[in-house]
Amino acid sequence: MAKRLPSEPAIEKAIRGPRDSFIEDIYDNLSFIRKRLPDPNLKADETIVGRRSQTKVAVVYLEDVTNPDLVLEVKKRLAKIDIDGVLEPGILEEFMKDNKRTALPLSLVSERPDNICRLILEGRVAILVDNSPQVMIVPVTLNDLYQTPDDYYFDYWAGSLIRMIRFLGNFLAIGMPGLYVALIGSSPQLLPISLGLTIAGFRVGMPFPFYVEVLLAEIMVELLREAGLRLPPGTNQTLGSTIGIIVGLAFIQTGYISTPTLIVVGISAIASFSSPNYAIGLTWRILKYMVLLGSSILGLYGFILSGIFILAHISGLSSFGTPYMAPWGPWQTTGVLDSVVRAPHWLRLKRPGAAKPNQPNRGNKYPKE
Amino acid sequence: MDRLTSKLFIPILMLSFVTFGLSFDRFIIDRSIGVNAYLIIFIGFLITITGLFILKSLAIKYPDRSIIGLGDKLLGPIGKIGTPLWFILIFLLTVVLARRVTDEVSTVILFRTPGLVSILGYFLIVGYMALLGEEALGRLSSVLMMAIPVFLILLVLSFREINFLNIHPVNIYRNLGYLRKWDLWLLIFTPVWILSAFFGTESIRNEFKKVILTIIIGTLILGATFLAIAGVFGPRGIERYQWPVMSLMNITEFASSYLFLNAITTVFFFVFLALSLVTTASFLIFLAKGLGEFLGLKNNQSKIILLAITAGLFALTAIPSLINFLETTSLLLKVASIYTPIYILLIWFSSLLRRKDH
Repeated sequence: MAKRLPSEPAIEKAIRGPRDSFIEDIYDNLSFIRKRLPDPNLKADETIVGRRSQTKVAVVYLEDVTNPDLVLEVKKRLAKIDIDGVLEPGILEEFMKDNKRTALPLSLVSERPDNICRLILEGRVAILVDNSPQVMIVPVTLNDLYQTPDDYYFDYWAGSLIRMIRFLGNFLAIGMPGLYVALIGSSPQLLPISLGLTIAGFRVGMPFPFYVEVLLAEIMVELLREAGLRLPPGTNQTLGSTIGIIVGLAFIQTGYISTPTLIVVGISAIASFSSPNYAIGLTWRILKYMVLLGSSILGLYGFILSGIFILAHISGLSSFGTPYMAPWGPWQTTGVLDSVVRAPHWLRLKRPGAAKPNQPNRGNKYPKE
Repeated sequence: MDRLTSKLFIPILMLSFVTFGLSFDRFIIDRSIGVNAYLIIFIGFLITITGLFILKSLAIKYPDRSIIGLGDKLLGPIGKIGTPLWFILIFLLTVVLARRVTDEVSTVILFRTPGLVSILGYFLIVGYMALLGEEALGRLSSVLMMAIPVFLILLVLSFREINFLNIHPVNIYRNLGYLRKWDLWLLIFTPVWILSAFFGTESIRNEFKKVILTIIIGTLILGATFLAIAGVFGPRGIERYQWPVMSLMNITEFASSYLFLNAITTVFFFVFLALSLVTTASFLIFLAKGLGEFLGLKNNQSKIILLAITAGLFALTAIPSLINFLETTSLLLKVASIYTPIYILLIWFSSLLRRKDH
């Protein structure tokens, strides 16, 4: 059967690091991993999932590093899946989730072999599915979804700055429309007088309340984003930006949406792309509407309550028994060194505690100055 | 019965202790207890530390039983009455706490919205947090621990506004009248007693030093805050403010920029609301699980109890006249704060009379 050659990753692009990505053949994908980790302890246990599809699934881990309970749990959950066909790891992901009702991704999917090898080295388990160029990793924490290979290839100053920007970007993506509605709607006294008056000036004669305005602008951005994905390559960028500009200008000139609203929604839309993981970006898009709803009903109080609700929800989640909020809740120093700030490699002597590895120490030795 | 590991218990303990203390500052520092009132926090501290030693001895002697089970086992008929009475007092204390926070929301943010709406929003979130369980609450508290420095920044900035005539630091030995009001200070330590007795069995047994250190740090934060409040406003001045801690922020004038000041106020309010929700949720879990254990219910039945208690808390918090009564008399606050140590002491005395439980 004809195979696709490994090409540059389509979504997880990197400035530094290898340019190859997984392909649709499970054995080729295994060889990509083994080429990077030619360790005799690297194990790949194969199983079949799907009554009709008979899909090959491989559980890959480092035998001496990974917690055996974790491997056992992964195999147990895989064995429980009784389905006619598995065409993509996303299907397995839904079956294996600790909390089936949450919108947050409780596993990480990557198309980069170097990223998967990095996580295997930390004591995680990779799940490879035949016919898919995506490999799943468990367990993960929210923090893991903000890490990219680039962070480790550049020096720790650049790596840390990029991380901070990502976290800030995500905060803006979720919170900015809600905060705007809360401040304008219920607590304008918290704004500087000149800014408050400027925004009020722009809103004179607007037919809709500000929260409907924000919602309209958000729907427009969502439509453009979705349409941009479906448009033929080559035309999508030109058409997307042209339509965006024309429709945006038309909204402002006809007086349906005010300029400050469009600025806020625009910044929020750009910020939502700062997340390196597409799945978590999608979730934040959903939660943004929840924050918007809370702010529309209860103003700043609703904004704060929805923020705490999201934090509480995340705190209640686990990925294969690992607290999703780690390394901040519970506090894990080894993980904190690789969170908002990426500590230098010579300080990261221990593996993050998230996967409870059998060998907490990496065994790295750095020459003293 | 082991409840929480120290990694999760200590953040809950710290946040609940500090938030609860700050929420009830109005009731603790008033002109009736004199200018050196802040000093008797040490009496409350010493009593609480002694209480923790008692709880430790109980945790070692009865490693598989919680305080609710012990009340039932060791006190017999007294436990059958004493435990429900404890629940009622904590229930009412939770109502007052929630009402104080939601009243502040109505004053600061939602002044045109009916108070019922903010109370409803408050209890919807608290109920959800409590439904997630104590482990999730511990993780959330661990994250929110990062907010503690917000209080410390406020404190440090407010120190320059202290008028030493208000606190009379040289008058400590001359005027000892304030010592008569030592019982008021037990109020701020109530979460320490409840949470340590119910959730902290394992931490008290295995990580006692960490628990003590948490209480010391919490007491220092609260003590410094009360000192700042008394120093800035004066004992009589405190009466003017419903929320002295919040008012402290406006008095300090640390930010000349209006936007910056408002941004800090919003962050402070976010932090305080988050911490209050955690504290209320931890009390709610105590009430639901404790009552479930007392009645011998299964875990899923405890969830029904939790929802029922949340509804009850909401209903009671929403009655304005009842809250006014509770707040003006302050009797409930005194009774609840004194009852908790006395009840635990009673259990301990009873345990001394019995042989070790195998």
